[in-house]
Amino acid sequence: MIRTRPQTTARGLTFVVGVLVALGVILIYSSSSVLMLNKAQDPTRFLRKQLLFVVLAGSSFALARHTRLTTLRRHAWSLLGVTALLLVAVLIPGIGRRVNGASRWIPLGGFNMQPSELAKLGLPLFLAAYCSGRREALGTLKGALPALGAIAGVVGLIAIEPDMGTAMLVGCVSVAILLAAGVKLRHLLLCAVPGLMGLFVFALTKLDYIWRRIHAFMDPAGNDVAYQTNQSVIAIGSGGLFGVGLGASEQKRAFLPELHTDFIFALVGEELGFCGGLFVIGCFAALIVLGMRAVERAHDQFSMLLGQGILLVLGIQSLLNLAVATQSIPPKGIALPFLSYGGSSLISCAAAMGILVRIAAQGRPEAPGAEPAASEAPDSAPAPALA
Amino acid sequence: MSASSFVQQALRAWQLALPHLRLRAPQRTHRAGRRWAKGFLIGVLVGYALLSVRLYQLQVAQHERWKQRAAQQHMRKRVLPGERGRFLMQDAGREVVATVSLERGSLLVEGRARQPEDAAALVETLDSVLDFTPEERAKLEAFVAAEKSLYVRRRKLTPEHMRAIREAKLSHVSLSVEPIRVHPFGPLTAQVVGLTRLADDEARGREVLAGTIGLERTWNRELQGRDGFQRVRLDSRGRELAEPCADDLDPSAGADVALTIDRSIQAVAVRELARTAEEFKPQGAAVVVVDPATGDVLAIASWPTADPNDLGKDFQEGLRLRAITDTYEPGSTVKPLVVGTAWEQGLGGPGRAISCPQRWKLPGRRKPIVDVHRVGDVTELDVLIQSSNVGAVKIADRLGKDGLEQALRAFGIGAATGLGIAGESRGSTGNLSKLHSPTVLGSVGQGYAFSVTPLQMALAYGALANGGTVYRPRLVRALQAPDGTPLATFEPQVLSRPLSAAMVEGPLREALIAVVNSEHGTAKRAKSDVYTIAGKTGTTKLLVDGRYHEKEIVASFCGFAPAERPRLAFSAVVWGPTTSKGKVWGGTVAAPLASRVAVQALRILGVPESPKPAPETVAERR
Repeated sequence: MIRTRPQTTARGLTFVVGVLVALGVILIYSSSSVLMLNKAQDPTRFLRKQLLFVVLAGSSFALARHTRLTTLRRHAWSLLGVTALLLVAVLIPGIGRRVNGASRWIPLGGFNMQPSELAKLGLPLFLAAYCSGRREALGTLKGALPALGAIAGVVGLIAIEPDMGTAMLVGCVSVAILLAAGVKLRHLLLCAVPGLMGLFVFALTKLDYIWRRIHAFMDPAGNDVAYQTNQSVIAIGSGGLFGVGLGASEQKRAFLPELHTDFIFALVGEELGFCGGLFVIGCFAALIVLGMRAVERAHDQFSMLLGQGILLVLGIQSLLNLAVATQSIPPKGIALPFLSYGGSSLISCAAAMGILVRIAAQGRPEAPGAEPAASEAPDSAPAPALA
Repeated sequence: MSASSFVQQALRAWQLALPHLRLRAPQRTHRAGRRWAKGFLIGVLVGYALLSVRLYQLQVAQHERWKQRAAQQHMRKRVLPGERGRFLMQDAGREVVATVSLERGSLLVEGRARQPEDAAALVETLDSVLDFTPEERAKLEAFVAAEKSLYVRRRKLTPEHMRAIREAKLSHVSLSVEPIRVHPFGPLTAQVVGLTRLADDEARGREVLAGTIGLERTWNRELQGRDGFQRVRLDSRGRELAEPCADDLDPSAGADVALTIDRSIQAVAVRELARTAEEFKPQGAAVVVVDPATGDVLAIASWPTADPNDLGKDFQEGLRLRAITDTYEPGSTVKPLVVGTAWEQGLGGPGRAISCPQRWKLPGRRKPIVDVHRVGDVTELDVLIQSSNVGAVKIADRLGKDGLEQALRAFGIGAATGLGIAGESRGSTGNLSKLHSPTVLGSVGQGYAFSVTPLQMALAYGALANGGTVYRPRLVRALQAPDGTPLATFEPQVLSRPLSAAMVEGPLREALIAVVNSEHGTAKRAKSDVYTIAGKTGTTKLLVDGRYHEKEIVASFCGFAPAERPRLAFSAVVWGPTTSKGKVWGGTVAAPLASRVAVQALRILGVPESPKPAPETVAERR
């Protein structure tokens, strides 16, 4: 593996994210200019809003980058509490906003906030903080129960919005954190089996739209539910090797709804072709590789678990999005980190990246085991216990 | 348990749980944990790799397929129909449109009404917009009453009708646009232009007008335009957007067919035919007017006629152009051709004396030759003027059987004229070779035993008018692009020169003028005060299924005018005229018809009037 200094890793991560966000802004303008011309006669409305989000995201990134990890750790419980509170609030009619039968948004003066976006950061942070100091305890079922309870609560709240994609994502990432933290696989399976079964039954009985989506996936041709993914595949496939050219998409003329949000990758495929698609995947892969370096060099359990959680959230979310866009899995609405239009997602992703970059910058320069170098002093010495 | 003890117990449980919930200082990372973390992240990288493969499959391997699918939903190729060419007629030096294509709506009511109220509303709306026939209305009412399924088609709807129906937003009703042919002059051109019908054209993938009869059929290929296309962008609901695309192909209309027919002369012919039909109640009648200098057909009409814009039930008869489809035995009108040929060959001359008893037996022929009046000892010129059968047969006898047949063929008799309309009859000289010589000579000399079409006779008389040249008839002058540039022009064609100019302009013309204008002539009713008409009448028995009808005749008149400088040659034929007034024959039925057409046609052409003393000089010289 290429040896890089922690600072280099941190800069690399920042650069990759910057590239993805910039590409996202360009694509959002390309996708929404036509849409807006038809509806609101304002071709730059989405561009301007996204640029505002980028500024906010930059601030959240900077804030996270300059927040001590200990401070974050200390407020893990509070953050989980706020997340849970918001997740409950979104279900209350009058506070949460229902769109297409799902209460996922809380209107906040012109913008809609998605509490589940916060959960993607809040739950891993809590799990990292909670598990990092009790490796031995986690080896027993009793010691793992509080963490499992937190996971069940948050994932359950997201699932009944319903937002199956996010619930699945958060659940998977949480389980991965627990495993890395020292929870035994058998304990996890013991708890996960009834939990997953419950989720599964809930999904099958209550939400026939999931059924329709699975059916649509099995038989995509001429199915209304599969319309979006069909159109997405048409867009991607028609792009060919080099794409039809930036701005020259035909599919964006209302053939593919939600092009600027969940299906922005279809636009990449159509306008920039196979090369553009590979570039985006490559950026995400670079993010994961650099992030892995940071996680490997992490000073302590907390940094490692948190870094791993953040990377998995971004990695799995991007995987799910790309898989839906290429009709590789049944459709579910999930945004592509950094590229899709949307404030909540961008701001929380940026905050997460801020944290990750801080973890990377504070990493040990050499292989694990060596002392931290002069890169950036760790926020706290690993040994002393917190009062 | 009291409430306070419950609270106490809960507090104790909380205190017990608190150490388990409190955050502790993080430990160092350990290898197992790092391995788990790395494993998960490598899993994500593997996912990316699989997605790249999927992307390759979609964008490179299956690219063409998706590109096609995309094009299908983004664009539609719309056919722009190439319009069928027009027919043009001459009218006072201008061209007027005889036939043109228009687009008209077509309505189809089809299906079964589920709700009786809907059906009633449908019928009411349709009835208010379209005038239904009682049968159609009965059908519609049955549809409402008994929930029967319905099938009503209505064509040739105007844009107003279409709009009204479209605005009513009726179920079971579909509207489409079809091309139709419109003939502004209706019955005038029906028999010449013919008809079209909508037929599937596989090459174009749509229904196009195809000529079925008449010139529409003859020139079908030239008339058909070339379809263009336009690629139109579609929105996501498949609606067309009005954005132009670069690779359009404009449609081009088919060629216009410019006819030689003069609208005014044709109108005169049709009108006069109708007048004659009114007077004599014939089985049929035809008039042909040609320009002797070129063979141009200026008018060609038959009675009965039909209006192609509104064909009734029995339109077949009305669409038959009897001037070329029907034949008749020309009778005396053939005498100038036969006698002229004999004189031309030196077998006699206009001044030679000839004896014409009323009954005369041709050696070898069973039936004697009989004249209506006794002509007596006269010149051969008088044989023509007084139309002596005896004299004509005597002169024909000099040509011999073969010479006679050659003479007829030289005038275009027995061969199709090549007018270019399907169904043309060649006439028949077939009997001549079968029969033995005296019979042929006796019959042909009187204009029997062979048949001609009115057009053939008009062209033969064209030769008598123009100095001896038989022209091929010209009905189509040129094919033109819609803007008038000629695509192909057709020059007059000479068929034969059976007679010399000296013969035609000398004794033959003198004789034919006298037939009409002298007191001995048989066609005095063709005489005009304005123009000198020259011509010859013919009266033969009507052939019905190969046998001569006892009473019915065919009355004909062939001639040219003005005699001194002919501008027109014409023939008029009336099959089976009847009248209460008495005997009918060529001189009373066909001669006035031909004369009226000729005089009006000459006026239309602006031909100066004939000098007044002309008939008298001829009469005096005689």
